This record gives sequence, structure tokens and C-alpha cells, in this order.
Amino acid sequence: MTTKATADWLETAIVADLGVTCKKGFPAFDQPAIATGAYIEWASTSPQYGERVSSSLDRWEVQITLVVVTANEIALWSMIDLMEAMSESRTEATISSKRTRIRFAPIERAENPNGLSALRYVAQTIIQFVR
Amino acid sequence: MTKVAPPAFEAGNDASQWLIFVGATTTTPLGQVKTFNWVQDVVTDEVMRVSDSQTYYTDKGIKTSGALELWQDADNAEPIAVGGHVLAVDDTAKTLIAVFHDAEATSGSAVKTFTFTNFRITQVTAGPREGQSAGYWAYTWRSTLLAAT
Repeated sequence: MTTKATADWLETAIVADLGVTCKKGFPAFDQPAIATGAYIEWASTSPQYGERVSSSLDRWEVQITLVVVTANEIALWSMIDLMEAMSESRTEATISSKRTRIRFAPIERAENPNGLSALRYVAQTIIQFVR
Repeated sequence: MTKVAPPAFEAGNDASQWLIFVGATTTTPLGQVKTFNWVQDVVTDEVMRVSDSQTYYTDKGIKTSGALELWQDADNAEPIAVGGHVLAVDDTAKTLIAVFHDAEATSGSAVKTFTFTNFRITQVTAGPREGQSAGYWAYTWRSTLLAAT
């Protein structure tokens, strides 16, 4: 299960780099009580066709969404710095015995359409794994 | 005269149906080929004369050359295998074999085998590309004989 292995790797990296707990799957974001910490959820798996002669489907790109809930604005800013550092240090890994390139999408403030207090200080990004 | 319906468009135009081998055997194909193509030219003498509107052609021979691009591999094995790692004047020419199959899957079978004798890389473009991009080796090459069997 390469997708599970990818999520396991990301969870371990998040715990080590961001110093927060990491849960697989999102909570119900319209609930008033949402614990601080990181949440990851699979977003997409895209085939990469036609990159070479002799074969058609050569690589896969998996995208996983990361949401980090913090307690206040200052804690959020600290978290952004940690996510920047993580983006710089985690650019390649061996996952399921395959070399995997790792790329981070822009880190953005998550939307809070219900105006929940627990979701006021939340950063989100998408992490791309190409293997 | 009424128009005749053309035959159905045929599958079989996909680069995935080709395998490319270096050396005289077709055991282990190259795995990092980005592009491969060849050009054949007829080399001809032309003779014209006064008071004659015809041109006289005499074929002298066939020149075969082309382009090859390889994705960078982790150990540089394939640029070395094709003879395009570091060029030297006394490089030994290779044999390159390109096989076209009737299907992409391993259940497919060979249709035509193109054998390039004295395959020799004549120009190399190499090195890292611009930031973030995947690296590849771009070659021009020549061969003294192309046979299709």
C-alpha cells in the first residue's frame, strides 16, 4: 500500500518537524471543538503518461492536503516558519523502496466559513509526492 | 467516380510499442529513452549539360543519422552504454537495435527489427538543466548501415 506508506511517512515527518500530533483524516470542520494539531487527508493520485519510449504509464503523483490548527495568531506564525523549514528539508524520501520527490504547494490560511473560534488560526497546504 | 471509404485508423503509433537495445542482443532494453528518431539521406551526384533540360542523378550511397535523448539515470549507466558519456576519437562503435512491436503489453510480438550498425554518438548536449527540471542527455549520432528485418 504505497498510499498508506506515503501518509505514514508524512505523519512521521510532521510529528518530528512541526512538533504536533498528526491525525489521518480530517475532523468535521463545522464542529465547535477541534483540537490543535495537524490533519492530513489524501487529495488526488495522478498518472504521468508518455515520459519515455517503451512504456506509457511511468510515474505517479500523489497529493495530500495538510491542515495545521493552532491556538493563536503568534502560534500560527511560528508554525508557518516550521512548515517552511520542513519544505526545505523534506525534498526527497525513499517510500516503499522508491525514490520519491516531495514538493510543497503555497502555505495558506484555511477558510473558516462557519466562523468557528477553533478554526481562526489554521494553515493549510498541499504536499505533492512524485514516484 | 464515387469516393471509396478509407480503412479504419490503426492503432500502433505509440512510442510505448518500441524497445531499444544497445549491443548485438535484444535481452535488456534501454529504460530511460526520452526520444529516438532517425533520418536517412540518399547521397546523389547531379549532372546537367548544355542544351538538355534533363538532370541526371547518380546515387552514391545512403547516410543514416538521427537524434537520441536519454533521461538522466541515477548511475549514468545508459549514457555510458550508448557510448555518449565522454566522447573520444577512438570510441568503439556500437550496435543499436530498435524493435517495433504490435502491442505495448509484454504479450505483444515483434513486427520489425531495425539494426543500426556502427552506431556512433557524434554530438552530446549534457549537464543539469534549469532549476527544478529533469535532466537528460541529448545526442546526435550516425550509423554506417540500417537494416530492417
